[in-house]
Amino acid sequence: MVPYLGCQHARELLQSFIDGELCVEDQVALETHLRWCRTCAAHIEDLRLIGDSIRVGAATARSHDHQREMAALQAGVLSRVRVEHEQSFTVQVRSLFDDLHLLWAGLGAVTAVVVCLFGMMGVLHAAGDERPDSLAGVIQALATPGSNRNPVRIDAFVSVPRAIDDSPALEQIRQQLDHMREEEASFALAAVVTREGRVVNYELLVSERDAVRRRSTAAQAGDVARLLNAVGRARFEPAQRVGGVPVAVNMVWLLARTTVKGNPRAIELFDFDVPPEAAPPAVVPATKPTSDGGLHDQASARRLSPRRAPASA
Amino acid sequence: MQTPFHGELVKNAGAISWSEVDSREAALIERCAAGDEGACADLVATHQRMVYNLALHLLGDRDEALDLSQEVFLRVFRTLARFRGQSALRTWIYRIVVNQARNRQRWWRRRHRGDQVSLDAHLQQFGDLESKNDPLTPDRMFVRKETASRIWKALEGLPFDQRTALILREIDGLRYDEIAFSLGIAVGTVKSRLTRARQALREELLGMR
Repeated sequence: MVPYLGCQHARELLQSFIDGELCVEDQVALETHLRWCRTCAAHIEDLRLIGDSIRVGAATARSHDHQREMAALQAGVLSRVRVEHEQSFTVQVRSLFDDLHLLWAGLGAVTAVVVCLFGMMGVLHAAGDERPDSLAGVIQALATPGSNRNPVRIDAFVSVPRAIDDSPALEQIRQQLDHMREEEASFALAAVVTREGRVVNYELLVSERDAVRRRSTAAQAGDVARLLNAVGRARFEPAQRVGGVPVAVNMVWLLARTTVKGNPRAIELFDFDVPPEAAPPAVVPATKPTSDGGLHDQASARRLSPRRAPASA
Repeated sequence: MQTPFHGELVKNAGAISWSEVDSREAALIERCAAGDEGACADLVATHQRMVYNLALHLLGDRDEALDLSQEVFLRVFRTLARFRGQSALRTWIYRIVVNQARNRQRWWRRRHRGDQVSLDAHLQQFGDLESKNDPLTPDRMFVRKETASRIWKALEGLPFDQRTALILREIDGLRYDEIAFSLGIAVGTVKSRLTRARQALREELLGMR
């Protein structure tokens, strides 16, 4: 028995019907409906007419003889494909191997480039680190405070570098100061103590008046030069950060020869028990240089007497 | 002779699954993939009329259709390695035609709308379709031509997607699933586009009465 089909449902199936996309069951039902429903039959006739008109128009447009166009199309496509193939990368590479002259030239060029690259890498490797005055060198130095190229200031977290007392350079400094007159034996040096304890980048800090006075005689100039020469050879125990890491530090080093004279009245105030028969100690020339960086003449200190003694400051 | 398309296509030739491709097409594709220029010529000869007609119907200009056809075949040969037999070769080529035509049609129509040859002008120039067995009377033939002319004019005014779906269905006779593959849409969308296109043309038809 064929199921009943209403107009609304039938119209939904009309398009699929003329396109041949309906299942057999729906097709039979719709054909039965179209036998008695003139509206739907007219609708489907319209759809058929539309399809026929489209096909007629298309056939009319195609009626022109396209033989030449088709031949041109085929030839054009094949020639373009052939050209694309000839210009493809793989074919270009293959053609290189067809002509061995080009191959040898190419291999030679590649070898030369490789040799040059190795040469450049060797030079760069031999050059080592970057120049200290280059931008990279400056950045590297700034990135590592406490290095020899970027010394730090002495503060609460950095210990003071100590002069090694028994070094020959220090003895020479003392001797140079002894040769000078007391009022001239006073120098201030700006210097850097490296991580290894060497004194570098030192510079004599003098006022303009002192400079004129010290250049007055060649002998004095020679004394200063020898003093600075000894300073350059001096050795320190390097400054250390918290944790014992050695760091390079900036410092001002005072070299001076001073004489400290004891005041007898002050001695009496301290009520020292001085035997009256004891003769006053001999005045020992105070010729020991000292530094603010801990260069302390302990031998002189041991010779200190309550009344009168040379001292170092 | 192993000239064009030899490299990549040979590599992928074995990967083609021929579920939707008949044996003749499969052999043709394999020969193309093997770099046989004769096979490529055969492929073009087999499908060129179909490609050209579809391009002509979509664009409405012979020169443009010819140019588009060349582009389509070049694209076919460039991408044949990716063809996995998921559809008939013809449907796959339809898809390329539609995509190329869609890209070209947008700007081309704006510039060359005035250059298109209408069906009326074409009939005046070349005459009507020859039909020796046509039983229609001259009056009916005139009405038929007039109707076809109006319908085509209305068809050209439809949106590209609706027009393409209708042309693929009515002229090329593709099934819904083939149209869906060619347009890259669902079958339900194909139906709705066909319905809207036919509705618009039917209104034009009713207006003629």
